[in-house]
Amino acid sequence: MFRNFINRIVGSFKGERHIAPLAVLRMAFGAIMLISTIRFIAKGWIYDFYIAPKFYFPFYGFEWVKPLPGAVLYIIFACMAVSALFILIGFLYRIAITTFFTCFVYVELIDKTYYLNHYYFVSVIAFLLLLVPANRYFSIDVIRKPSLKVTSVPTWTINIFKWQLCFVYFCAGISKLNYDWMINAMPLRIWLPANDHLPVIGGLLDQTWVAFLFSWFGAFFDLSIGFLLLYKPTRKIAYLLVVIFHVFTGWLFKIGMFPYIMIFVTVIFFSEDFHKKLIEWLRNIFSRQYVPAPEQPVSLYFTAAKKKLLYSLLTAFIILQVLLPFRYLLYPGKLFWTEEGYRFSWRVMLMEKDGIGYFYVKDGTTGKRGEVINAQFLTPLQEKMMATQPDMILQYAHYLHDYYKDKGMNNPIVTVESYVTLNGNGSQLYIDSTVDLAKQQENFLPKKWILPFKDK
Amino acid sequence: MFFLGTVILLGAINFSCSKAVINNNSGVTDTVLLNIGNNIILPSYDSLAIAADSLDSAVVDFNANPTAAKLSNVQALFITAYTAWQSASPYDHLGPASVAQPPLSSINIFPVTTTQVDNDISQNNDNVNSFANTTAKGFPALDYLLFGTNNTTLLTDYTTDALAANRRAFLAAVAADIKAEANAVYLQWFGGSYVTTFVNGSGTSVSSSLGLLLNSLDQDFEVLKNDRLGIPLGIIPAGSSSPQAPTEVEAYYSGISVQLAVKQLKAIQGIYLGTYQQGNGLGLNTYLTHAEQQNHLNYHGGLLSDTIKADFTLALSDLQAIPDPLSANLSNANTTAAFTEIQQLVTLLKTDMPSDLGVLINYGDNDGD
Repeated sequence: MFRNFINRIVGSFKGERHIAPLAVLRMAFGAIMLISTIRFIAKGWIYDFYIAPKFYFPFYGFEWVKPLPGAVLYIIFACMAVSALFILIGFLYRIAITTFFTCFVYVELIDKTYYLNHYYFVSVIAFLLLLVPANRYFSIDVIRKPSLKVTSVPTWTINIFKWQLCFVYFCAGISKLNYDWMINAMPLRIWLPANDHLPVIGGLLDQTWVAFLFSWFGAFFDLSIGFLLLYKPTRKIAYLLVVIFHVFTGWLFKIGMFPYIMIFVTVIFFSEDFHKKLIEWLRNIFSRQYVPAPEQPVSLYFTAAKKKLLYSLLTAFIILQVLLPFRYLLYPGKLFWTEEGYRFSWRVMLMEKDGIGYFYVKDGTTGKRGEVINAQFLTPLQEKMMATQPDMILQYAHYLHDYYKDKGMNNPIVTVESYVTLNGNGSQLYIDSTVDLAKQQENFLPKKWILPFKDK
Repeated sequence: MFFLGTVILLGAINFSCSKAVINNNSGVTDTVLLNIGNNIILPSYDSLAIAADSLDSAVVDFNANPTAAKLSNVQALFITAYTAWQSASPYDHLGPASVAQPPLSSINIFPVTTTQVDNDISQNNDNVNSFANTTAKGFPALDYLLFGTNNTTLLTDYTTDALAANRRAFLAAVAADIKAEANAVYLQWFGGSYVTTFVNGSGTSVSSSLGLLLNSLDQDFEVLKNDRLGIPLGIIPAGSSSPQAPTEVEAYYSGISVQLAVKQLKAIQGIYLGTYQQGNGLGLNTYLTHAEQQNHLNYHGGLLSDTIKADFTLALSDLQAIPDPLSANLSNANTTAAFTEIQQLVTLLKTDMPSDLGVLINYGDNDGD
């Protein structure tokens, strides 16, 4: 059975297919990224997120990634927008997708305050698009250089995206199978009534049964939607579900571009014929004189060396993808509380978590202790995000140590009295308030100074 | 299809049920906002504007003919206006007060920079809204101008002193500025009908009335914790070497710091409980209790709404137990006790309450489904 399953997965990567789905995916991704980037710029977030702060929270191992001066950041975002447009029209594709991927990942790495699963998802899709020949059909590149055109590509270049999407949804579904979500309808039970001013359905949103219905339906949707999209007889209904589900959650919750990204990208599941027809339709729009002519079949083959490189890259990528969401099993304690192994795991909307941290710095020689005014160093968003994530608390404590040491304090001792509330459980002490955080180092080992979660 | 069906079904049920059958939150929020907007916020700004007007008239009267009696009158009206300010300050970061130029909070940035005030007087500069005067205007400047020394000396300062005319002009400019700023914000709330916007701003996003109000309360509470108590106590900021900083208290010269802090805490408590001068209405605790009961939430076995209520009472009694002037009573055990109790309240108001209410105090996007 298991062997059979593996064989089927491996089998789905073999052979070759028409390139149309890949060309459509390229255009869909380019379009939604163009909108996303313009929205980000228009909201003034470049300044708010990457220029205004005095201090940034880089990812472990990427502390060398620093924000460039403001003007350069604006240029980077402009490059991102232009490359998204180029991806959309298939112009200078290799350069465009490389630029987009580099700029996007660079910006994401500057500060984990703004980490969102859908930003990670965008990075992943951009990485995969980097490996596939998505510009070799219905693109400016092909018009400029017709010899680039191919009609068939190796099947994996299309199915890798389907596999990725199924995996994302499925992991999101598994992560919902926990006590809080299924048995307590948390945190939807808190979030839904908060929307009860909405027209039509508002009045129902503070009904407990509605929170349960949404929780269970959400879990069921995430677990099954990938398979429903893969299976031809259910595909159309599944896609309709995708659209309704995402538009609806986009309406209820402040989740930005995520719903639209998913609606655009899941188009890849449609059949070859659908994508061919879509492209024909687009051709007709752009050129009234277009006369459909039978295509000369041209297959794309990778050289042996290139194949070897791509296959090893893909294997490494897939192994990493599969392992990352489960690395939390290596840590003791409640995952939602410690957040050790929480990111990069497609865990979304699972927690209503809020916190506050009173940081104290004590002069190691004189013993004079004072409380830090966090607003002096952090933006409100940074402070909020930091308060509930231990690795960020540690980074901030180290920053405070260095800051006060520079100011001439002897051997600053940094402690925090922090309180966190999780899914409606009354706030409780989060971090051991006696531990000198300046002496603790970040690494992949469990953080012993996180106090255990006490359930009510 | 199931989902689409569910949505349509939900809509249909909602239309077919009367509001009375469906006990919905928005009813509660709206009534809470209505009470807070009409019965609490509006009267607070009204009182402040009236007190600022009287203060300004008294200053004009005093300047025309400075006598000891008129000085006492100005001093008394200063205390009335400063006290009225404390009831309006919780809305500093909400609506008209926050978008005003300069923001209304600019009339109470303490401690005052006395050298700047002295400088302005000797230069005969009465432009109190220049950048240099950020900490030399509003109530803290008046506190220094009206209580900086004993009344006999003060009277000569305003009459026979070489700089008396300049000093009178500066005093008038500060009082006139307070009057102008307080009235401008009151007019926005009242005549400009921001109160309508406020009571209708339902929802729980950052820009909803509830989100804005909680945010503003939190920020005002931090002023109480940090500026009114923490800094004078020497607890804040980290890295300062002095054990205590008595001159940093609010109203250092008039010595009414505790009286003012009590007034501020009572104002925030009033918003929480929904109480106002003429009666009782619905406050944030009504909404919180509703959400807790609806969602079967509890705070370590009890209700969060009750815990917060009890903590307000505790913090208030600790604060009231400190004798004025605060600057001379920083080592009083009640002062530290009040600080600790207020910190506990800040924690509950900033973490548990927004969390239980599902209020987003967040500025970017959230993770999607």
